[in-house]
Amino acid sequence: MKLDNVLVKIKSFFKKINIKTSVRNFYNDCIRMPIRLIVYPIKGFEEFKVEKEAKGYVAIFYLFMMILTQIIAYNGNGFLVNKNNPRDFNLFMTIALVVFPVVIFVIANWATTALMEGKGNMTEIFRVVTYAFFPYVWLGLIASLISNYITVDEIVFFTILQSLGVGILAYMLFFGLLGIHEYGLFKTIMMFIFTIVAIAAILFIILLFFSLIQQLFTFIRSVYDEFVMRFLIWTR
Amino acid sequence: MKKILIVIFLSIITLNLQILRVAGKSYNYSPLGEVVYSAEALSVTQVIDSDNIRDEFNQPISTSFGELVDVFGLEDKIYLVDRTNSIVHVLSDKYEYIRSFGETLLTNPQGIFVTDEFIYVADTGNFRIAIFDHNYDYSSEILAPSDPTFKQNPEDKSGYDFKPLKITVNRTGRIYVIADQIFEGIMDFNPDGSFSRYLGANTVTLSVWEAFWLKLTSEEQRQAQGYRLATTFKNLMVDDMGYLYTVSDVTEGERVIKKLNYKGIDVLTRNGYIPQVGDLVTVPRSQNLPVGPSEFIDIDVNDFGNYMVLDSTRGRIFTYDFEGNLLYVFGQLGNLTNTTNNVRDRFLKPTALKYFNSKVLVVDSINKNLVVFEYTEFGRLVNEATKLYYEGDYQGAKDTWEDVLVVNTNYYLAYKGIAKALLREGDYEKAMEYSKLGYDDLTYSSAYQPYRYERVVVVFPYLLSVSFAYLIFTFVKSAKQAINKAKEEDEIG
Repeated sequence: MKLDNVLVKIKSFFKKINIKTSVRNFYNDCIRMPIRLIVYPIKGFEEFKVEKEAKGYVAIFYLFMMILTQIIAYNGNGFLVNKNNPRDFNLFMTIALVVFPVVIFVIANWATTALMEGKGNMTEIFRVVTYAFFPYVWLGLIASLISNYITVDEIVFFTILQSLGVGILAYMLFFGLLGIHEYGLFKTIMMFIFTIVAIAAILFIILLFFSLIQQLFTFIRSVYDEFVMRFLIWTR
Repeated sequence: MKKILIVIFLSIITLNLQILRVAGKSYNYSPLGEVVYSAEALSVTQVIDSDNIRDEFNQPISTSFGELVDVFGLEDKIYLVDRTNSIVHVLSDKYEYIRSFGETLLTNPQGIFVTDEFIYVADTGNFRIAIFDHNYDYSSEILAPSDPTFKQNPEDKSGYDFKPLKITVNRTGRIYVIADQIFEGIMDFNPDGSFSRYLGANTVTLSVWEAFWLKLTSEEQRQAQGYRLATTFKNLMVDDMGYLYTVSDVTEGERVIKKLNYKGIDVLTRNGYIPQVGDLVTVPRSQNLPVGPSEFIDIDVNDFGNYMVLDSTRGRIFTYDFEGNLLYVFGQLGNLTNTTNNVRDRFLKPTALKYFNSKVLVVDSINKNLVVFEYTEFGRLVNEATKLYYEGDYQGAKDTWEDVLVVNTNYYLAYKGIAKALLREGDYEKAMEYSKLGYDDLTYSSAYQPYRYERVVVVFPYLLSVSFAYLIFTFVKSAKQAINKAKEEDEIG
């Protein structure tokens, strides 16, 4: 009886989902919107901010795709361009090297723009950063695919695709932050410089914190050792 | 129960011993720069020192070896330069003592080279090159060039002493000398003994940091800093074609080994997986090995372009082929890994090496002995394969590389060699497989190109016909639409 109920519920759930519309929505959100952002950056990012065209699930999707692209680039690139040692692959490090810089950049940018009268909030900054992964992800995946079918002379195509991905990423990031903070050109450049300074400061503080924790830990450890040596071993 | 425990205990001990033994074994570097354990290429077969040297009649000899600093082997004779006794020992090819020569004539000799006509000895203490004939009689000498750089007579106070250290003579009799304190390059003497020129000096390089400080310092400060001198060569050897193989100080970086042509330009091929600098990874301190880069002190080249260099830091000998691939590594200092007592077949301070027939001779100046290495099956096969490849017999080289793989599966160069031969045969798919195993980009690429062409030729007609059909379909469709539209407009109009 109960199983039937569950099955009926699942069936009704799937009936509610219209596959055609959901695919179309996904296409509109994940492909058409970022392309629109590239082609009409000023207008596009205005819609992005004011008309709330940016979707949270797209941001998470591209963050995930970025990790996937990195993994595929490490393991699936063609023999001629892949000089990585497969035994050195570390999934945790790959994920951390995508997520950690994003988090630090978002915090640093939010911190600087809060002081520089930026209009964007933290969610918007995060969405701009992850939307900017769009060209890198797709061009990177295409580059990884064609790298399996090229000769030494054709490596230049692979390199062009990859550097194009990085270039458009920088372009989208620039205009995205310009749009959501409602800055001018000069102020955006200044913001980037200050963001880099802020990133350096954050990294420095993290480093300091870790070394302090380590010293504290060794201090507690040595006190403990001393205690054990003096009162527990000697008296015996 | 006790028995089982004992068995377990013993097996653990033997296992540990095996691991230790593997750690001391021969190794090579993978294309990714990792250490890969390898089969032993050469092994010590004989160690000749003052204790076990015998003459032709198997009698002990009266003279004993001093500090041996150089070795040379030609045809059936071995020449050992004894620096402390200031003589040269001559041994037969069965390592029997024949005689010594140069008593009273030589002082502190450092180097030797033997041609069919003469024996050239770098007589450092007497500031000259002494030349002997093959009856070991003194024939002539080469003194310092008549140039103000050098002291012309003992009273002269302005110049340098002419102190020849290492010497080599090409087949036309030109004499190339490395002298102490001479930074201009290798000294090139004419066959008659007159000085000709300096050759192939290393260039002085400044790092960006040094250049920055040089900009800030004043003229006086610069003079106080002293001269920036080019690194001198440590040793040299000439090959059959007249190319000079030299080794320099570590400051030369990846160009520490050089092959100089007659103009003094470096023409060494550097196509190996890793640069020709000896040890790649710095050895971890825990292994109790000396750290730091390899410092080469001697080089020798054989008749098919293989050359080997002697590293004084860890007493290892690295052999490269004519394309710059590291073939094998052998030798080791003996006073390492916590063993204070020296093993006889390990070095303490190796000073010189030489190819001699199908063997390798190494002399040690602290052990005061001559160590004879002979090729194992693996070493012999690798040599044969590189020789066949050098001579252009690719099919023969392929067969030999396959034999090498039976002995040592981790030998990347063998896969590379087989891939090259397969590419020549036209077996592209297999060549791709082997070049992937051997990390050979160029062979893979040139095998992949025809392979890809073959595949595309099969698929392309279908692709073309499908796209052509689609084109016609869309054209007809749009034409129909246009006609319908026109009809509708006609009806309305």
